Amino acid sequence: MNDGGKNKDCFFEIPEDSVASELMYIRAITAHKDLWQPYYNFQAIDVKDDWVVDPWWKYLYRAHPFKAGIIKLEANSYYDWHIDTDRGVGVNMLLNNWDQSHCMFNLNLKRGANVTHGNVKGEFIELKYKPQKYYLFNAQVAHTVYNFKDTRYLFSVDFEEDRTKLTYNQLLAEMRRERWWEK
Amino acid sequence: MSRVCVNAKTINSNSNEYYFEIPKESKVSDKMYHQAINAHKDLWGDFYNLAGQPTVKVLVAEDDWEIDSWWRHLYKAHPFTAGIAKLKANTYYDWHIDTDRGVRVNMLLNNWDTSHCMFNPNMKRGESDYNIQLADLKQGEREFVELKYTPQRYYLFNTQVAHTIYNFNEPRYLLTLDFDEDITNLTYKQLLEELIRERWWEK
Repeated sequence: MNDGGKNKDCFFEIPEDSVASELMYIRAITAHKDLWQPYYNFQAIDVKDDWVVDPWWKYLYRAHPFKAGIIKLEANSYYDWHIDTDRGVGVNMLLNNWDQSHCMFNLNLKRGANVTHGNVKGEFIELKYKPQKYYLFNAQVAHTVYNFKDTRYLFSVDFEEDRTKLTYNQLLAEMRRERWWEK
Repeated sequence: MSRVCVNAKTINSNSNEYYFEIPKESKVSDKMYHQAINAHKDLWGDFYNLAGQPTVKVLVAEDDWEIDSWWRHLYKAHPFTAGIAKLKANTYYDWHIDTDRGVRVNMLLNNWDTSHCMFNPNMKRGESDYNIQLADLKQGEREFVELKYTPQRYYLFNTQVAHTIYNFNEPRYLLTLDFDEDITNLTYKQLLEELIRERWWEK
């Protein structure tokens, strides 16, 4: 969908290439299987202190402390329509499968029976992840993920502040003002 | 279906339980596609499910449409109405199990690489009858088997296994045969056995 207005309600692309994306991917595919822990309906590993990270994270962390991790979704599997229970906003970067997985938002699905039972038919807005790009992600808009090929690895930031304390619109406004990625 | 237990890890090996590719190329696929894209907008009717929700737009095939010759054998055995179902760009038809049809015959007319049709045998019909229960799925039960439609190919389609469609590009056109016999009179397994036995496409 080429509606920039609606897209902005769902996600925002941070205009700076990551320098850590490939190293993150290597960390993911070489991680021992025992390191993967259940995280909602995914498996996840934590980003450790000795990992190479993008320098602007420190500004983001000072403003809004977070845990960072990589979550994986197996080939030919999906995470159905949902609205996050706790998170208002996330920061995500897809580490592989840019053309073989799809992440979609539906602005019309609401929490409750509407999401649980589906809406039969709906329009979606796709977040077409690009390599080496971070996205501010509105976790309070219903979203789904389908993965068609190899295991999909997504870097994701989980803020300590929950959805009552930190919303997508708040963080989007703050990021645009502060432009941490330029510092 | 007589399947007692489907392990999510093995569902990919059982694709014949969900669909069957008819081993004969269609000669009319391109013509059907042109019928669809050239049809006047007033010819597209709404198709409703039992809950009264409009689901897809359907263009019913006219008698003067050119069809593949083997249809007449199929029609004699199991009368049907042929139509083309349209799904708009950037829309989806969520997980569901058909309410009244056990089986269909489908051929995708475009968007082979930009739309996805998937089955999940772990999802069961839910409280609302027309939809399915999503909440009870456990880890490992959110796997799917994709029907990767090939151009000019018909597929026998098991509408009693939960399925969903996502369309990412231009409007998607699907030729679909809607049998007069409902789910109580014609099942996927019955028609699959009959097709394999009769091999109408060779006649």
